[in-house]
Amino acid sequence: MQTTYPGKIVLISSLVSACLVLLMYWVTQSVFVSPDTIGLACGAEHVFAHGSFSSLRTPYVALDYVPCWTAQIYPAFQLMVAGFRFVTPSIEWSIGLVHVLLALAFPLVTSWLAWNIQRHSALTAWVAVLASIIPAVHSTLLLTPQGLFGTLLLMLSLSLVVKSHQVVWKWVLIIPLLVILFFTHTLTFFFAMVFVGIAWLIYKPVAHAVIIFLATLGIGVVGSLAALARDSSIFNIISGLWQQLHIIDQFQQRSLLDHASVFGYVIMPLAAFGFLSGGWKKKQRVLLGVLVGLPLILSHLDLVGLSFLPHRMIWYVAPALILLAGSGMASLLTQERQWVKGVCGALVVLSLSLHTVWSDMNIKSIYSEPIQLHTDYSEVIHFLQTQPSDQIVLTIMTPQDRQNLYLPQLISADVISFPAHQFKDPKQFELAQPFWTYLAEHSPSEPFIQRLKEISLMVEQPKQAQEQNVFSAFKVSSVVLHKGSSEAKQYKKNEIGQLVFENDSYLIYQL
Amino acid sequence: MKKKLAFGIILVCVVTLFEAIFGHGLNFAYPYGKVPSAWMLRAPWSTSITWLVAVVGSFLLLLDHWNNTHT
Repeated sequence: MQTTYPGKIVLISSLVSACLVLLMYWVTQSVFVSPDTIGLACGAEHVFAHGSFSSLRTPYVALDYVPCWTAQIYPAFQLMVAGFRFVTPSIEWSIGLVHVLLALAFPLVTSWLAWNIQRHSALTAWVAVLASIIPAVHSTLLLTPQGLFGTLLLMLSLSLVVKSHQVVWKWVLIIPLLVILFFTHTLTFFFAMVFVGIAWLIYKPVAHAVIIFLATLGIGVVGSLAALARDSSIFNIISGLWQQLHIIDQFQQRSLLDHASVFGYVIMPLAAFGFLSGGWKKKQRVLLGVLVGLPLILSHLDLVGLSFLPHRMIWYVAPALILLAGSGMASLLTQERQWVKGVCGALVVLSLSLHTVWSDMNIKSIYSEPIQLHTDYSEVIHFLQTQPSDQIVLTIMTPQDRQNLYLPQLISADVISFPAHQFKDPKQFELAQPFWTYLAEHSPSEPFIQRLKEISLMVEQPKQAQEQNVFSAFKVSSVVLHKGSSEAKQYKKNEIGQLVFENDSYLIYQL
Repeated sequence: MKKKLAFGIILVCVVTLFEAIFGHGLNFAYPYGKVPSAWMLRAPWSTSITWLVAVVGSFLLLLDHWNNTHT
């Protein structure tokens, strides 16, 4: 077994990973590749410009995505992006830089974890190669970069535990990493606590039990206090948990059968072979089994009537799966025939890369295109910028058009952004927001639900809304509609307000 | 043994490439994009072949391990 660190391969893998991100930027012609990046850009720019977190939000209804991240939303990640703003000319550059750095770091950190678990050159090299090109990593990087950043902190903590398990001072590094992680991504923090705890138990430095116990307790107390500080109302915490426990997986990505299409088909058999023939010691095998098994079990809680973010859980299988797949690849390629090694290695890299590019293209069509600011919408923004700031603008969000997300940043008026598609299809409404359905069933007088109904009335049945004085109750003075939509036809037919703006795609009625 | 496993991996890669080139990446879209039809979702041939290779390969490895430790 070779025990030289494959630095060059790791470096090249990192560069390939970064190039895939740059390819996505080139294709979309924008660093805003996901709705989350708009909220992040707004929040981080606010931190940079004002030295405090933003409180910008769509009043009454904040649906689909948060257009400007507040102090409650991944604050550590916002601070990091705001920090980069000091060395970049604009927030777009900061976002791009963070994406590229995360893409560079993921293969580095994953291979470092592999190297610390088993000092095996081929394994480490293949882990770096696979980490740079598997589709799940790039999907997470583009859609929820905060999740990938959190996973990096998780893997760094885990590396420190397995690297020098007899050293006490490493906890000086691990504990701050976990605290940063808590303020970065709560779900990843949960997994980090469990994984680090189990890794520590497996590597059992019994002499440090008291220190570890106190440290873990300390993190728990700090975490709980922070949770209370962030969500001062205990009702908010409980209702948030209740909501999360009942979020139905809109992608129905629960079945093991489907995981191959998320991670890359060839990763699954390679990981199985790696687990069985990777030459792991018993404790390493137990650790890897836990790292794969726990998220898998949690993503299948629907079997016992619960559903705890199943599509989010699956991502946490990735680090261990990449290690096992790297091990499977290294183990397979130990045979003598060079051509088999060459063909196998080349095909794995080619098929995974192509899978990732396809996956990125789908992200582009589903998430990136609907949020790009097109000329027609820019004209709408210019018009709204000339309007008084004390008014409320009512707009409609559709899955194909989410440019409304920019409004709170670009206009001074408050915005009600209404996702009409979720209300037109009761099944989709239920799928997307089961907690609202729960509230509607159990407390029909709940003001939030009542407000939703009234907003729905203004969009769907404007005449009725006018008769009931809903527009004036909400102080809505402008309504932005898609030209040719059923809502626009209702406004025209019932002569609601006055048409003050029109271009090829949008209409604005003033009331 | 390793040759058989390598053949399985090559098969999965070829199926992936075939799907990418001729299937327009339909299953790759899932779960982040357009959702394929129910049949494609639950029984895509690429997924089926992937799991077949994983299960058969693992079985062969376990059999090999059993033979080595009991002879």
